[in-house]
Amino acid sequence: MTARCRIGILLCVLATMLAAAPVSAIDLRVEPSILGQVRDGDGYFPGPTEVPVELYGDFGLSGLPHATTVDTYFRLQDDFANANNTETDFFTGVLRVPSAPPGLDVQLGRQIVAESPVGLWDADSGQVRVGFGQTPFSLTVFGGQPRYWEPIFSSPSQSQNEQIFGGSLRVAQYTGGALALGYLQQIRQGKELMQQLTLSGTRAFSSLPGVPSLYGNFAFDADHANIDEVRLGVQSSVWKPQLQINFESGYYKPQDNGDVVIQNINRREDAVFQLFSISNELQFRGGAHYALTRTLSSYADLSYQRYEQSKGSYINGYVWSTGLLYLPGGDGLEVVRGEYYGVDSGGGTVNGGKVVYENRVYENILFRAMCNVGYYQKATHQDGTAVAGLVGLGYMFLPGLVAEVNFEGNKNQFYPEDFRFGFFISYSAGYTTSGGIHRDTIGNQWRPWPWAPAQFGPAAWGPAPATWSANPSLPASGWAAPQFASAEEARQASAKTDGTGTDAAGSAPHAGEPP
Amino acid sequence: MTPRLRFLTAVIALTATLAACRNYLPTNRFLQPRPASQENQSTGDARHKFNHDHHAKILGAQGVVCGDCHRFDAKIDASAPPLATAASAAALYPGGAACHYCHGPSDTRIAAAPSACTTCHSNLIPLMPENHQVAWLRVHGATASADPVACQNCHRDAFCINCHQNRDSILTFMHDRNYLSFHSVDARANPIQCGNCHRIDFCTNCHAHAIK
Repeated sequence: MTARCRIGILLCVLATMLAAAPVSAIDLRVEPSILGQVRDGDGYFPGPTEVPVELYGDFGLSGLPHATTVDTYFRLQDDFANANNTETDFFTGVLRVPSAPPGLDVQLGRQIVAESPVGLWDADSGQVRVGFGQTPFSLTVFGGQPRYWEPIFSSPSQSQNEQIFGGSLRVAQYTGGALALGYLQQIRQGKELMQQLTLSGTRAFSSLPGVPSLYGNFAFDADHANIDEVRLGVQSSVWKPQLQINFESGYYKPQDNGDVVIQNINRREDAVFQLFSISNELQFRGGAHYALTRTLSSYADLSYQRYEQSKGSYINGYVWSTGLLYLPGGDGLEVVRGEYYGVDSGGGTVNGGKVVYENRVYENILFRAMCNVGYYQKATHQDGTAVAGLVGLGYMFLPGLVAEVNFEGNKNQFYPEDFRFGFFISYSAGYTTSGGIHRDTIGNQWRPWPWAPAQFGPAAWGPAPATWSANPSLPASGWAAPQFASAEEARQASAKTDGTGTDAAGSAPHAGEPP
Repeated sequence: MTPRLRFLTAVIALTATLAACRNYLPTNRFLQPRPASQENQSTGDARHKFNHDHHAKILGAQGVVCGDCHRFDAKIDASAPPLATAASAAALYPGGAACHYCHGPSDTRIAAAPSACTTCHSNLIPLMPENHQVAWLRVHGATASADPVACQNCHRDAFCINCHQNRDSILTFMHDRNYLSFHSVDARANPIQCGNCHRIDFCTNCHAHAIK
């Protein structure tokens, strides 16, 4: 069954449910986005001009009995210059009944199954979660068949005949944390790859200076009698909130294969990792973020990895980045970020710089520019400079409705003669029956970002730099962020919320608190 | 001056130029400055979601009366009518604590009461937990595996899928376009990281073509 058929069936089911239920009780959410691009044929696979168009959809229903929700998410891709290029369509959708009966949470469909600390699967699966009254205990059982949308250009070389089964038991719950025991069985092509016993947890210590938070994972493979993963980290503020640090160490060994390279990739637990390593990998990393002023902050991140590439040959890898984040005006409407990054490993070295600029100062106009220049010297004696540049201009016709034009200029070894130019136009809209146009999600959480937003800093620092704490008006992410309100709407919202903001801080839940 | 130094100089000059423009941008009837939004500073949007009719049965069964949530004894100074009206409305409004008494997070939560933040709140930014502020991209996996319910309080599956499954797009996301040129160096530096998102097909589809 093709993705289009599945989507059609789902839409029919949704329409039937909608027609059969009281209209006033159901909220229908429709958030489609369409993006198109014109570009030269990829140099690695020479061809004519490509005109890919992608349609993203996020349809959902809420307000059903027992707080039931239906959520879907799909992408259809077509290359208008090559009608057969539709291999990367994907579709997910899940029906969730969170409280029928109370304490029992049932989810069915193609959904994220994330109960293992060593992996996240999007699987055709079912999940049942049981809460035990006022106790911290919560039991989750799941099982299904994972879905993968790679490869892109050819038939899969790794089997998709795979099943996973497992469960987890939350045994403790803290302020800002929880502890859970888990079990996971993974089967591929009828053969068991692993049976993992896991322990994962996080805990924040709010009474200690800096409010440090510990997190960690442990996974033991009972089949191979070896430890698959141990990861332990801490994040904390130091010297008031201005300086924030994060340290982490990890051990990873997906399979106890010793010195033997497993030829059959379907027998490998982590086929990508086992391309490079016959041993475990040790990792240490640390990062810091320091707010120099209310509008200017700096960050740095360094990680070190060590593993055995072949018998007696060890690889030491270093990855680092450091940069400045400047928020002129402090309101997040204008962002400037400059970054220096580098990589050093057995494969060579990379040194590069990146500048990102984003401007949403005007109510209807959006502008951004990005330039990334990387100089590399590979162990294969190849060297060169690779450039990626982008300039984008967007116009907001209505709150939530944004059209964008972006121009790209790229230069690398695949396009040695000239820069590569392209443009794409994107358009997104959302509507709910209860709230009209859904400004707070359009272009933000559900719509894919045209490029990593300026706030989306190095991996160590997540989407929200420290300076945001003092300025709650800043957006969460993306340039089409929630505050796409006209001046009049902003005034109305301000008037409506006048005097009601006092519960904001007090009622904000911490992740891990009981639902 | 070496190429790297020239590049660094250009970066600094460009950054300074762009940032300095903020105070000199033109404005007219087409170029209206975006107002500083107040929406993100309050969770007050949730009060408009409350429906007395919907709650009447369950609250009645629990023995909850009007006075348990609303204060009717507030003394309002009637000498300033607009202020009195506003103060009266504010006094009657029970605040979020009344909602959270049943819906959580609290020990008094009623199991049948939907507990997800999104049940009432559409503006989630003020609710962002503090642990999301530092190194969250590194940490969130541990939290998600320890307590996935906590994630579902605010996020739908699509939020995870948007990063974890959204590859081979015409858009750039985690890697800029030039990453292709030196991805092999990065892969050897930290091979675990590739496997977080990609299957081996992603490697072999290109490298197998090259071998052929």
